[in-house]
Amino acid sequence: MPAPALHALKDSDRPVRKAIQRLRWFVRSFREQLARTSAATGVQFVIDDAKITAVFMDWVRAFDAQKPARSSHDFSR
Amino acid sequence: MAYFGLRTVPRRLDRNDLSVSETVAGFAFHTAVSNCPADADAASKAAAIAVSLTSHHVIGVAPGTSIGLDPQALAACQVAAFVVLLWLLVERLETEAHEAELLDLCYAVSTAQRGVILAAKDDTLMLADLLRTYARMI
Repeated sequence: MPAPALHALKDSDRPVRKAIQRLRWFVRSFREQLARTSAATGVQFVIDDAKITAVFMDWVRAFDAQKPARSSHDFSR
Repeated sequence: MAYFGLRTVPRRLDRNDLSVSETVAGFAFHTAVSNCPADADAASKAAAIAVSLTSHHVIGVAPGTSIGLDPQALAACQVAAFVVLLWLLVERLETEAHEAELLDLCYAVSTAQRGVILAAKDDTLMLADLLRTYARMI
């Protein structure tokens, strides 16, 4: 069985480097990983959708900032 | 599909006092699309539709009018229109059929970027850029 994070990409025909920059992948893989952790530990978790979205957007912002040429898709405003 | 989103989003924004007019929505859609240049891209058309939905008060206390809409309600209506158009714009990937999940993601992104969306007001160029950026990200 593939690792949970990559397992969430199984339905995508896109390169991992592209698919990984999608919020839907990030949230799905995070939920899947947390579900496995809950199953293994018996501890139930609740995900704050607003916070996980903010974390993802911060990451994409940092990711974009490291690109050699800044694209017009800067949502740091 | 658009009407489903329009009905759903105000409730997600905790605005149960707001309702939607399907007739006004149809008029707003038609007006926006017919005024768009033929070569406008999807994000530009989506921005024009979002502005039209807001300006025609498709969502409201008395849809089709500004009656009973305080600044907070007007802001909620603007964000709701943005959420719906973002949802319609997001690319559907191969085997996916998770419309509710996509709508949730659009809601989360739009809520996180609420200030930017409200600042854009009826600037269709800016709204189109935001829609294009967020749609690619979701």
